[in-house]
Amino acid sequence: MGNSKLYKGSLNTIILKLLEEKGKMYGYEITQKVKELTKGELKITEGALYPALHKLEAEGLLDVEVAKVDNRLRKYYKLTEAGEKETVNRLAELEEFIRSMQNLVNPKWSIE
Amino acid sequence: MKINKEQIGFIDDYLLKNKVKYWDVRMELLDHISNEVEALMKAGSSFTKAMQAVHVKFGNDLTIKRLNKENTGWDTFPSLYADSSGYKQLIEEKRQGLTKGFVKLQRKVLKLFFTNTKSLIVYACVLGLFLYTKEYFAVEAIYEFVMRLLMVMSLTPILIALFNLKNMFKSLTINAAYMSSTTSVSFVWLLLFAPKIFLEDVEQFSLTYIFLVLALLFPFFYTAIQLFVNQLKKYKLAHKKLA
Repeated sequence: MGNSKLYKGSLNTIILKLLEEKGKMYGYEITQKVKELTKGELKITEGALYPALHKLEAEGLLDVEVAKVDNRLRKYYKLTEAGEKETVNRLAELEEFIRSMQNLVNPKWSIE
Repeated sequence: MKINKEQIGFIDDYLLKNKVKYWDVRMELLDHISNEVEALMKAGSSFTKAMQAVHVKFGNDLTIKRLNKENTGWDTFPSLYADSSGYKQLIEEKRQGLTKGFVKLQRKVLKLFFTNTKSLIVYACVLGLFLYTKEYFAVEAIYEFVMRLLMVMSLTPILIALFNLKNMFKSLTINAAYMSSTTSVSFVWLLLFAPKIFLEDVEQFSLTYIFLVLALLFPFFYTAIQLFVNQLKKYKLAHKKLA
């Protein structure tokens, strides 16, 4: 996993969010997309990405599709119906976490 | 820059020599490595240099040491086959991810069992049959029948696996699905036979006990079989595309 441990706990949510936006993606594409979106700040290693993808697949949140591309087989991941629901839940959880962290790190003091 | 068929064949052979024996892991890694190599070649690297960079990126060592001709020191060479510890670790982490996922899925499927009409009808039929037969048969005969039914159900993943050996043992996903379904079934069997350690005679099992065993274990075995068969079907389709 990339440059910060802070991202580690959110890897599954990041994967789900990307798949929700793009429809279907393959492993290498996910690593490149994350790198592009975070301007190189976050680099997902293969050692973190594939176990996470396989866990989500085994949980029934992702479905796979195999297609022949450029003389080789490519495994695409896409959200299942359960995966779509889970993405909404996990994104809500993540947003709540970010709000809580913001309140903790940068509390707005007020005197009433 | 796209790599050619021979170079793809080389990467496949390289993965096999680096002990990536599962076809599903190899298929995905082959595509990932090909993409990485293509990107590096586009940036000006040669195929050999790009392969070496990717080998190291996956956490493998590239250098091999050999004694020099004078036996006075070591010569070092770069080799794609010097070490495959990175791939070994990746496969292990994938296996752990899959196992965790299947355990979670099994819990979900078990919950769904009680809300799914089809499985509830099967469940009601089995329990109804038990309640109907208990009027006409002796406890021993019912006990024997229930045990045999559960035995056949728990052996089903093993029997299916025997007929699909080629696909099963060479696919990490099928392997993990098989392990998680048989492990949980074995654990439940252990719980089931625990009273037998203390009760020697079958007669001592009451009809209520047998009914509870059947009612509790049937959904567990039914969902374990369902989960394993679904994974096997899915990966058999992908395996066909390899041919």
